[in-house]
Amino acid sequence: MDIESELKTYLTQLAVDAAQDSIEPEDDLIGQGVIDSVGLIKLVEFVEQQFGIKLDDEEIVPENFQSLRCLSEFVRRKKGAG
Amino acid sequence: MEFGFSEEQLELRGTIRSFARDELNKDLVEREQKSIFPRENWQKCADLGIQGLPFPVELGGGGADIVTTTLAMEALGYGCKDGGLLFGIAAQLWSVQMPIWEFGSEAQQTRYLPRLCSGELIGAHAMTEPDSGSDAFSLRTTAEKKADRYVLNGVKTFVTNGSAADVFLAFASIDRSKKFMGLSAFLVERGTPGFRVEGEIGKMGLQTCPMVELVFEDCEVPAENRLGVDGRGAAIFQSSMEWERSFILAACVGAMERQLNGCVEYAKQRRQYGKPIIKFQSVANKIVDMKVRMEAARLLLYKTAWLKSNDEPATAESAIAKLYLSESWVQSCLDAVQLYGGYGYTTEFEIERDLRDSIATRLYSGTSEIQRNIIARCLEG
Repeated sequence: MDIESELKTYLTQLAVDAAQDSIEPEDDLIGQGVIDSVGLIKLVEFVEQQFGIKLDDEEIVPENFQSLRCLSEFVRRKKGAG
Repeated sequence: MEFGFSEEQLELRGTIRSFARDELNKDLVEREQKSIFPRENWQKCADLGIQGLPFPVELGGGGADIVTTTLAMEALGYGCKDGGLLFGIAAQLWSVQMPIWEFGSEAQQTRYLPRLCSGELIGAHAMTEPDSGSDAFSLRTTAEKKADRYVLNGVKTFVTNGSAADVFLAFASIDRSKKFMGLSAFLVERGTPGFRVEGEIGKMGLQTCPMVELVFEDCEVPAENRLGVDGRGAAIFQSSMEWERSFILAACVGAMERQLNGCVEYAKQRRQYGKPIIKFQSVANKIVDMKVRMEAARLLLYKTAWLKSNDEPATAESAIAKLYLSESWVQSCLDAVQLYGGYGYTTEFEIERDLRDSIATRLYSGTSEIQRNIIARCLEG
């Protein structure tokens, strides 16, 4: 499974609103309430464990978590940099 | 698995218990009735190194690990009966000093931590607002970036240590459209133009710990006083709340042991129907329940301390500890009042004060209902 698919599967489980059964690449994860503050902590833990990367404090910002696409690209960059 | 403490840790515990018993309880009934903040006792604690315990020596701290710090706070609660002082110190330690240490720049750490450790400064955490308590991230206070400053506007409430504090860790939204990821945290010093501390909030217990409202009206805070990067306010808050959830009630475990010992002694001495009341099963059972709650609370507390010491995730464990400790402390206080009978209701016996103080433990640092929500979210996977 590629990065985006893995993240999409996890985000679908994580979605605060259970009715959100499909997440599109450009959906606003924060604005639409897919992830809340507790969800963000779990998402960071998932990303670190699943992709073997360590996120710096400065990287946990809206620019990297705004959408599935942003997050996938961020993870790809981090993995490449590692 | 290791349940014991080292010789050094036990020696520290003994020192702090004696210090707290001998130095921090004088005139407490009167001070509590008059809601007097014990500035002198705060300083005594700082002189002993309490406020600096887990922080690096080079920043004015004691360099202790988290388990040792927890043991010290428990010992403080065993000796000190002033719940307001214990609460105020713990609130500063976990929700002001710890975020500065974890998220602060070197300049911020150097500027604030040594003076918070030494007692020269008192810190306060300002998140809650009149319309946002449990739903903390719906806060309305805003911070608008203007050149090298942020302009803050809004009101904070239930600010622990408020009227005594010199520096405030305040949270504000820089972009409401980004919800919880649009928050930033700021270190605001008393005396900053546009910032003022409003009247004391009367409350049921914790009388020696001042609680106030804060008002920000076009309050200009230098950009270098922002803690962490923009948008990290929620993470800073979450992190500080995890520290608080984990350890703000460490002193209550010590207080539970003190209270239990007092109940056992009282029940052995108090005679009714020709024998000590501890010989009545209804009394003994109550004492046993207090003992079991205290032991279980201690295990949860130190499991969390061990996790945090090892830099392990403790989201659920900290919430479990907070939930169990607070509920146990309230129940044990109720049991103690019942055991002492009419005397338990009197001010003189100093049991009713514990009960009044204990009620707040189910409310601050996240209510018991919020702790259950956090645990439930963790169970979802």
